[in-house]
Amino acid sequence: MEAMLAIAIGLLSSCGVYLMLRARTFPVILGLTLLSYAVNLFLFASGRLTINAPPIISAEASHYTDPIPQALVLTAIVIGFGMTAYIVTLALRGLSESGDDHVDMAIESTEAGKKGEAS
Amino acid sequence: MTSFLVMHSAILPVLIPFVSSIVLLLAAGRHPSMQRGIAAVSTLLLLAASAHLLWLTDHLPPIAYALGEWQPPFGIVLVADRLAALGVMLSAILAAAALLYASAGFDRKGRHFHAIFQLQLVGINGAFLTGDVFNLFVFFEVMLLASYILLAHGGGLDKSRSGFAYVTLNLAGSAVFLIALGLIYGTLGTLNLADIAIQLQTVSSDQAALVRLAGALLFTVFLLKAAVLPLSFWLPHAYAAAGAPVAALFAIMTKVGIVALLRVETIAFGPAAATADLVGDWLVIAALATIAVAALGVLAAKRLQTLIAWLVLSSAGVLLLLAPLGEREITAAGLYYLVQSAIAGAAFFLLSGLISDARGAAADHLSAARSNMPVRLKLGFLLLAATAAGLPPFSGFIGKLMLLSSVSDASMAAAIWTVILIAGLLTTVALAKAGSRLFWETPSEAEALPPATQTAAHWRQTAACFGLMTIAVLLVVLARPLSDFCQRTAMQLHEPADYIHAVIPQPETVNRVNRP
Repeated sequence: MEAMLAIAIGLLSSCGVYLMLRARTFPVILGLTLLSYAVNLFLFASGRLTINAPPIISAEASHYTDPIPQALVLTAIVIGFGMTAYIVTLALRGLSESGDDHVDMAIESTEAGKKGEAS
Repeated sequence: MTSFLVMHSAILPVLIPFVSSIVLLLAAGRHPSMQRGIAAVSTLLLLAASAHLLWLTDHLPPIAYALGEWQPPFGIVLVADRLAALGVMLSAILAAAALLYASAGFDRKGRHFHAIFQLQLVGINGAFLTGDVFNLFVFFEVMLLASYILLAHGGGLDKSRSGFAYVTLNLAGSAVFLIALGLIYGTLGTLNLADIAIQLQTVSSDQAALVRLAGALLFTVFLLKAAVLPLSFWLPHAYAAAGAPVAALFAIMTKVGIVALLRVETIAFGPAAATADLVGDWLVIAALATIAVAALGVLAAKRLQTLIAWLVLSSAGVLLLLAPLGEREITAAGLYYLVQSAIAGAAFFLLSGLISDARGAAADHLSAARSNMPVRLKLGFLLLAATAAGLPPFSGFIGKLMLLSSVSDASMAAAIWTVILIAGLLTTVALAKAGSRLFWETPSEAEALPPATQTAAHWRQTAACFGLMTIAVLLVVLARPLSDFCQRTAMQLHEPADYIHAVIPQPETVNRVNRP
């Protein structure tokens, strides 16, 4: 179980980093999302992996899982979700204003990009 | 009533802007003067609450405020010490000036400006006051989310492009922050700063490497926020694209990163044997490189606002010297420098907005333009340029003098002196060049721009800008009391036992269940 989680986190974050380094806004956003999934899984694992155990006190429970990482992950998910929604609108706005979805800031270079595509 | 105010003094700087931001959202459709009124009342209350907190922390040991009476290390805790109070006071002053400036018309360029502005203050003040690292993350995110929206306020391709890069970089930073928090929780079992300090004393050797990794990641994120080289290239683009009042408020955001770094290092990671050497000479070198590159950026800037953004970066570089050098005198001198550079930087951004309005189509580009510039703007530029370059008798000079004389015994003192002084010289040259371009050069007939549509400065804009400048001058007059306060702040910062005791009075009675 630990090995599977570790491989999943590693795979997600490596794909996320690769996509974030692309020059177009959509892969970058996708990369950020994958990275945040990896981080959420990592945070979840920081309380150790416990199976079939409740996070809140109950009379029947013999052992418990750590509730704090679950609360942390919930917070991180909410924040990450809001951020992703915002960055998507920002990317769409850039697209509608300039007509392309390049990440670069210099406007000259995006114009060069357009010419490159046209030829 | 008095005791009620004292009891809740630590949370008021977070609560006041939070409540008013909700009220402002509800009043979104109302008349702009009503929104301005609510924002003004909230900021005045914030100024009063910050001054009260500053006074309290100067006379009392650190104040720990446990939300909902959950005793630390469990639950959420805010801690107000002198450093936090100083940061909150500074942000309240900058906010008041930026808000006054924005109320002249900038706030109507988009929706919800005032609500988001107050939310930004929640984030900044919370980041100064929080007592645990997870809430530091949350307040950072609140601050950043608000700053993304403020950065885009007013629209334009420039703003959405630089906004996208800024948001992406900070989201990647947040991911690294969360990994660091996961590592800290996984190894030490706590995220409360005081409790981290206690746990670090007894960390086992097989966990020490993971804790060091967590500390290194945490510091990387703080350095990203503080814009140290090579993580600094986002700053000039973002700050130059923002509107003048927004940039003025942003002047404190790099300082938030530095204060967070200073706090985590002095309280938790510095005193512990396992992590004592995490912050070392490498940070001095990075800080000096930041100062050097920022000086070149100041020279190369083509717009006044870009130039000021590089100046902010340069002051961030100077402040980064505080953490690795870690002596009381240096910290005290650095805190004075922090206050004066934030105020002067914010005033400079506001002045750049005024100059840009007065030049019409030429805006703040460092090129010739026909315009009748009021004398007060020229004098204001002279004052702020001298402050930024560190020329006597202004506050920039005092700050640099105190810092340079305090580092004279430190290792690498020769390098620090050389870099800071040469950077000061380059900054002086660049500012002299910029000033003569802006004010004296007249365009030849061929390159003359069409007649500029000058916008007359509103009295609020002028008042905000010159109010901040007055404070910058007051920092010279009141240098003695302020530097005494900085001394006391540095003393408290280097006595982490008081801070830890305020949060967790009896660590041995904390009921710790053995973790799996």
